[in-house]
Formats: sequence, C-alpha cells, structure tokens
Amino acid sequence: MKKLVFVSVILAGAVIYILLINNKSIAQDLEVAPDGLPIIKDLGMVFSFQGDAHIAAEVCANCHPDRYKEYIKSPHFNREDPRAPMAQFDCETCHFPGKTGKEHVAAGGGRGIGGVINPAAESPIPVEVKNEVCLQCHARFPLRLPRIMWHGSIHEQKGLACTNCHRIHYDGQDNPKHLKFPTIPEVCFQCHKQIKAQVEKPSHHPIREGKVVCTDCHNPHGAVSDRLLNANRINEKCYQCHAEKRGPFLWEHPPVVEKCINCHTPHGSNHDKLLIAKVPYLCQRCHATDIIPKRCSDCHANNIGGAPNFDLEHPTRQFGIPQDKLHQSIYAHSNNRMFYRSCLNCHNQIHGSNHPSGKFFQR
Amino acid sequence: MRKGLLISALLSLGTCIALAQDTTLDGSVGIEYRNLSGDEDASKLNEYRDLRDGITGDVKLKFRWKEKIDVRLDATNIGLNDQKIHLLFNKIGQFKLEVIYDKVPHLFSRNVRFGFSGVGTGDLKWNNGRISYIDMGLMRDWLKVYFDIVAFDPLLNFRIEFINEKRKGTRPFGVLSYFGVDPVQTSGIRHSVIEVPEPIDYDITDIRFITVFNWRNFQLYSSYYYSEFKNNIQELKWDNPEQNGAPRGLLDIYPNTTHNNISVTGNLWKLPLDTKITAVFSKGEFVQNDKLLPYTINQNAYSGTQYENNPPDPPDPGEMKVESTVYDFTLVSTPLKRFDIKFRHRFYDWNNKTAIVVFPGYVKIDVRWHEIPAINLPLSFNTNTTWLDMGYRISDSVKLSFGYTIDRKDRRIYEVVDPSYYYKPTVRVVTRSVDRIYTVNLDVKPIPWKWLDIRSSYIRSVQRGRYRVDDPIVYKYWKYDEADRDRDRLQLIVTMFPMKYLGMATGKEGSYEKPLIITTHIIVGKDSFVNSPVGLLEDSHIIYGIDIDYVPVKRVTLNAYYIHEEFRNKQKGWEERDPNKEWIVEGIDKDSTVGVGIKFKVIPQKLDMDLRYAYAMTDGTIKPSGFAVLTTVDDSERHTLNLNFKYKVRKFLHVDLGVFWESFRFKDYNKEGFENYAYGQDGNYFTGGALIPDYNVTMVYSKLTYKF
Repeated sequence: MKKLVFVSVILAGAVIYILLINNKSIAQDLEVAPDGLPIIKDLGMVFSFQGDAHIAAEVCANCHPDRYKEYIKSPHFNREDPRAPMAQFDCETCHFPGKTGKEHVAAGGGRGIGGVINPAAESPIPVEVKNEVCLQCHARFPLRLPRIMWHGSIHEQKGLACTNCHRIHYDGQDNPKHLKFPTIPEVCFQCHKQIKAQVEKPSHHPIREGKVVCTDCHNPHGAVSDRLLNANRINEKCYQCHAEKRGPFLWEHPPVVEKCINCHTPHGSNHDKLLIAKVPYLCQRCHATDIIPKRCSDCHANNIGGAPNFDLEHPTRQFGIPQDKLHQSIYAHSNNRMFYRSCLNCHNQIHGSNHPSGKFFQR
Repeated sequence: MRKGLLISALLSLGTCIALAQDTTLDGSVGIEYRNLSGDEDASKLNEYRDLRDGITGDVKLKFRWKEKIDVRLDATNIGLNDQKIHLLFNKIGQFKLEVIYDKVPHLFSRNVRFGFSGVGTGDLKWNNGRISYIDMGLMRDWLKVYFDIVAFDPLLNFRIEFINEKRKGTRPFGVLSYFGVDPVQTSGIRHSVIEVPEPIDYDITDIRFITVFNWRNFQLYSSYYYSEFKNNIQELKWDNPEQNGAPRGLLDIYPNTTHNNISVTGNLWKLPLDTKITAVFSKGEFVQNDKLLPYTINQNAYSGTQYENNPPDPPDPGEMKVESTVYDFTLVSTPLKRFDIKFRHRFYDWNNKTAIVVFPGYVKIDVRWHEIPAINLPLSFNTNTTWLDMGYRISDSVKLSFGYTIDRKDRRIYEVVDPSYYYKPTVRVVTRSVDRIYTVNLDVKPIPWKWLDIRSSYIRSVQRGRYRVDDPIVYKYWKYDEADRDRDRLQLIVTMFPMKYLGMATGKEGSYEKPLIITTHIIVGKDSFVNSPVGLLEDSHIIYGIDIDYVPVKRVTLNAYYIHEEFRNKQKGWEERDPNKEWIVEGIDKDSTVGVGIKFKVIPQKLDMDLRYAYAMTDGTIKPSGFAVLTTVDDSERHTLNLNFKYKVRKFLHVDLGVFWESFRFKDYNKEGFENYAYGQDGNYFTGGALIPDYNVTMVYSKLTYKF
C-alpha cells in the first residue's frame, strides 16, 4: 500500500508538472539538431505545404540518381495512391515536411541545407523527428501490426527509428514491407543475437525453415503484452496456433494455465518439445516429492545394484514392471517418442484433461 | 471450398492480365531440380520441410494496371509438402485482398512400428501381432484471407481476416495400456505398456474484424476475434492385446472449443509536453461444451476385489467457460527537454467460471474404480502490473533511464470442502506473489557520426509470495514459478562501425554505407531461490557472442558470428519429506552456434556466389551428487552448408547451381544406454521403436529461372 501511495504521488506530481508548470515540448525545442542541422519546427504541419510550388522528384534525381532508381519501384512512388508521398509533394513529403526544397536545390544541395531532413537510421537528427516523418501517414497502417501502442513501447524507449528496420528507398520486388533485409527474422536478428542462435537448436519453431516469422507472435510496433506479444497474454498467443490446448478443461494444470513459458521456451531448445529442461527433471522442479523416483537411491535404498524397493505409492513402483525393464519404462524409453516423454508417457494430457478419470492427466 | 477459392483467385489474376490495357507484367518462373544422396529418409531432416528428389518450382508475378491495380503472385516450393502460395490483389487506395495458402509439415518419425490398424483414426484395432510401419507426422494446411478496406482513409480503415487450418496426421502420445486384470499378479492388475499414436484431425477457423478510426490526434483501434476449434475425433479407443475379453481403452482427446475476444484501444497524442495517452480494454471468453465421456469402457473394470460392469455415468459439469479481461493505461510524456517519463498500469483477469463438480470416484488406468471423491478446481488468477520509467538524456548521445515495476499476481484459492477428501482441493498454495522489478538502462549513441551504439540494462527483481501453510500436503504444489526468488540480469549489446569512425569508409560521403559492423552482446542472469521447500537453489545463464559484417570491396560481403549460451539450474532434496535431502542435482545446458557467410560477385552482373555455413551444437550434463554424472544429455551437432552459384545467361535467363549439405548427430543417455525391444520379447511392452536418426545428406540442385 505504501508503495502504491508513493508511486501515485510521483505520478500526480509528474502530471501536475506537465499540465501546469512546463508546457514546452521537446519537439518545439529542437529547432536545431545537436550537430547544427536545421530541422522542422512543428511536426503537426507536415501536410501544410508552405510554398507555392514544389520540387519534382525528377529534379532530385539529378543529384540522387541511385535513390531515385530505387524509389520509383516503391509503392511510395505511386502517384495514383492518395496516401503515397508521391501523390502529395514528391520527395519533399518526407525530406522537407511542411516546407519546400527550393533552397536546398538553389544551394546545390548538401546535408541539412534548406532544412532537408534524412530519416535514415544513421542520420544524426533526433529519432523522434525521424519517426514522426513516417508516422504522419503510418500511424494508422498497417492494420495487422498496428502502431497504436508504439508510444511507450520498448522499441520506442530504446530509441529505435523506423529506418532501423525498414528501408524506405526500396529496391526489390520481394520485400513489400520495405525491410532492410530479405526476411523478417534477419531484421530482428540485428539486435536479438541470442534468438539467432536459439532458432538453430534441435528443437525449434520452424523459423529457420521460413514457416514462422517473428511478427507472427510479436508486434515490433508496440503491444499490450510483455515482450511485444501481439496478444493479451502469452498463453493467448500460443493458443492461436495451438488452439487444441486452450481449453477450458475439466482438469487443469496450474503452470500450464498461467504461462506456457513455465515449461517451454519459444525460440529454440536443446530439449524436445521446446522444453526449458529435460524431462523428468523439468517435472521434478515442482514435483520433487517422495512419490517420484528422482534418483537411484529412491528405489535402491542407497545401494546401487541392490534390490529395489517398490513399496512406494507411485505406479511406476507397483505395477509389476519387470525390474530389469524399469529404467527403460521410466527414464529411458528407448525410442524417439517414449524416451523423451518420461513422466509424460503416462501423464500424456499434461495440458489439461477433459476425461472424468483424468485428474492426474492420464486420460 | 479452399481449393475453389484459390483457383478463383488465380483465374482472376489471369483474367486481369488478359483483358487489361495499359498494363505492366513482370516476374519470374523458376524450375528447380533436386537430387539427394545419403540419409534422405531421416525424419529429422524433414521435420518442418520437404527436401526430396524431384522437380519443384516457383512463380513470381507482378501485374500492374495504370498504377491503380497491383496484383502479385508468389508461389514457392510448388507441389511439395511445404509449398506456399501468396496472392495479393490491391486496388490502390481502395482495398487490398490477400490470399495465402501455406502447408507446414511436422514430421516426427519415419517407419514407426505399430500393431494396430486404424492408425490416424479414433479406433485402434489390434492386428493380432501383425506389425505395420507408418510415418508419424502431421500436416498443417492453412488458408488465410486478409481484406483491407482503405477507401475511407484517413477517417476509417477496415480489415477482415479469415484463417482456416486443417491439421491431419498422427503424433506421439505415450503409453496408455496399463488396464486389465490378471489375478495372478499380487496387485490384481496386469500391466502392459503399449505406445499409442494420437490421431490428429482438427479444423480451426479464426475470423477477425478490425476497425481503425482516426480523427486529428485521436485514434481508436477496435477488433473482434472469433476462433473455433473443432476436433473431428473426439475420443480415442484402442485394444489392449494383453487383456482377455477384448477390453478397450478410452481416452478423451482435445475437446471442441470457441474463443471470442473484443478489444478496443484508444490513443491520444500531440498533447502538451509531447504527451501521449493510450488506453486498452479487452474482454474475451473461452467456452467448451463437450459432454463428458464415461469413466471407462473396459468391461473388465473392477472395484476393489469385486468385478463389476461399467461405473456410473459421471456428473455433468455443464458449460465450461473462462472470461478474460484486460485494462491497460499508458502515459508517455516529455515534460523537460531531456527528461521523459512513462507510466503504465495493466490489469489482466483470468476468471474461470466452470462449475466445481464433485466426482464420486474415478477409474485409474482404465481398470480400477476408486471410490475417492475428487473435485475439479477451475483455476483463476489476475495480475496487476504497474510500471514507472523515467529517462534522462545526460547528453545528446547518452541516455540514462530508471524503471520500477510492481507485478502482483493473485490466485483464487478454494477452501477444503470436505477434509475427508484424499486429494485436497487447496492446490493454490501461493495465493499472492509480488514481483518488484528495478531497472537501469544506459544507452549510448555518439553523434554526429554514429560509430558506436551501446544498449545496456540491469534488472533486479525480487519476488515474494504469500503462502497457505495450514496443511502440509499443499507443499507439493509450491510451484516453480511461484517460488520466492531474487533475480539479477545484466544485458549489454554493443554495435560498432569502426571504419566509419576512422574515416576509412569506402562508401561515398553521406551515403551511410558501413563496410564494417561489429556487434557483441553479453547477457548474464541468475535466479536465487529463497528457502524453497522443494529444494530449488538457483537458475543462472550466460549468453555471449560476436557478429561481424564486413565489406572489404564492393564485390564481396562477409559475415561471421559466434554465439554461446550456458544455462544451469540447481536443486536439492525436499527439506521436509526427503530423508536423503542432502543430494543436489545440477543441470547444465550449453550450446554454441557458429556461422559464416560469403557473397562474392565473381563476374559482376554475370556470376554471383553465395556461401553459407552454420554449425550448431548442444551439450547437456546432469550432475547428481553422489552418483555418476550423465554427460550425454540431448547432445547434438548440426552442420549446414549451402553453396550457390547464380549465372545470368541472359538478362531474362538465370541458372542456379548449388550444393546443400547437412549433417546431424544426436546423443542422449537414453538413446545410448538402453536397447530397444518390442512386443513378444517380454509380452508386456510394445513401443514404436524408431530413434531420432542421425543423418548426413547432400543435395545437389539446379534451377532455371526465366524473368520477364
């Protein structure tokens, strides 16, 4: 409760400060970028073209032929699409938002001359300015990976620009999302190097086979869930492809209901079924009780090679499995279904059972 | 219906091309021939793909009419089990229609030994000892249709999604056949272990409507989602060959379910002080109405020492339903030039409204009626998470931020209805857990020319729970994820462009070309469990790697990377119940990945070479104190090499020649230490018997591509 009050006070103070004391925004202050380049002052005026004429893209092509050649293949170049930059103010739509490029042309070009801005990832202008150039149109597109949660998302907080992942002057036919790399995972692997290794593991989602891509689960533009998952909760995300496991079931397994990642890791694992640890050791992280033989001495009474003791309650001890086969049946099932399943050989409905006799997930 | 839709779409495309004036059409048609040698039948090779001898092809078409209609067709791996066809019809500025047909195979094993007929159905009949071999796997057959309406942009935009998946096949299920009666055995039960394949025949349909309303600095995004899961095989029955009197087993496999969700997100931006506010409300419902099956259909089921007929019908729990609710509020602001703040609160509720039903007993392993009352316990919980993040730009290139998060989870508990119940219903021992997370981030991006990019964060997290300790049995359920623990995690990613910094760039000034990029990363983390009654001690991990991209000359691009991961966990004996609680077991998982790539324009504009090699290894160890260390735990090695030459015979004609080589080795103490055996040898066991195979495969491929 005290913490809540503390947080509330801080928040209230911040709100009061915002509303009553300081009403200047950073965008208004950034008339001059740190390296002296002039930039746009009012980002809200991007559609209010101030000049009486604009510079056609073909003029820009005189000095920027490579960019132009790429650009004309892009959907951005489509003059028939009222949403496209070319249907508005050609190159000026993005590079001189709210202004004309005449001064830039008259001066013979040059970085920053005439207020030209370059939203490229490496450009020194503030990332907020770069992104605002894109968001003037793309705040509402695409509908599948909406940007409505962009503000405050981890990627925004980390200072990522749209151009960190997207290449606006797109130069190919196979890249409709204007990505910097041919595939979505390659774009994400720029930073998420550990995931790049995980998808190479023996147990993996078919990411390296190209059947699953990062955006099937994540929305890099912001999401309501942790880890930018484009679902309300991780389980709800998993259920979209593994719908059979969503239930509700008559008998439920608490760690399954709460988080799939209690047992599974999504990108890749050393262990079968994307499990975070090998069974039965995974199961024993919770069920480390005396009903499961977790080591040799549980059966052999601290005498390896001695007579086993089958007086405990678990079925593996009492169902008459021949002693010389016990290891095979419990720990060491020697085929590619059984040996990995361990506890799951019998508790095969571990995600939930709908059978009246399925209290222990065996039915 | 699915094929009809696809054919119609393709015919539409053809009609457009044939009839339209002022059109442009370009694209390519490729025919590829593959020849495999080596262990090409190995299941692991084709786990999610279809590499085989023969011919396949791909087609890419791009049709445009007056910059008003854009039609694209992209088909890959035509005719194979992993083919994908993507058709896009875009009436620019009006609407966009996408149709995607995607086949995703999932092969588990080849030549699996079964003694049943009817594999893949819900009725497995014993074949009187005749063995048949099947390939065990399933096929996901997706049809996705996306329809975007942008005619009313920017005020309104709409999207409709329709997704249908048909999934058919079999998958490994485990062993199911313990049932039966054998008075000879002292326990009164005769046991057998029969591996049973689970039949898969699913039909899953998802529909989503999305509307986006934009007005000045306000946006409202709303969606409705409906999903239906239909299992065409509702139950699995199988013969137990070990039992007399033709007893049969019965298992209820995944039930039919539906899921509804409505979600509304509002966003207000360009407020004073660069403030943005986002609010989310979402409500969902998961429903299941399947009628419960009988306890058993084994006519030899018995109760105690008395043989009886089938037990009574189980009580009806009625409709099973879960409601989920989300509220989320985010405020982001920049009250000072260098200071930004983010506040966010999120509430998630998982409310299971399924009725609590008392079952008078249950049938254990399809043989014995246990008169032990059991009740189901619908699980419910909610989480309240509050974030407060504050960032300060120390300089133009350095940003420091602090975060504080409280993540509280409350679980519904049930009081003991009747203390005489053997299995008490108080399964949620941790009624509330609170995780306090402290975060420090430091991001460094020197400007004006960015030669260095550092992203670093340190997280300290402390989770504590409130426990029900009134009954010792509940200690069993002190779950891993509920345990008290302290967490530390450090993450550092450094990207350098040293040649840019040193002014050695080969690219022209201002082109931002980066001939050398070096990215290193390290992640170190540890969870220390506090007084875990089930003996959890600690989890730790370290991940590090380096990734280098280098363009020494314009004709050559090089890439190399190395990544190593190491995960450890330690657990000791259960404090109160284990008489030998001194033991400690440590599990260690390591993996390393190495990759090299070279792209070389051997003859510019004529001959390109692309070489990619990856090596991935996993290495596991289990170290129990006082016993032999298991050193082969899911150990594997995989080499993948792909060498491709692309020769441009003419502008419109390309030839690809390539070699693909992949080698996979797998070792595990289960696989290495014990032999396989089958029905007949012991009389009580029958298993599928196929191992995860090692393989060594070479594929030579050639491809002819015609471009137009």
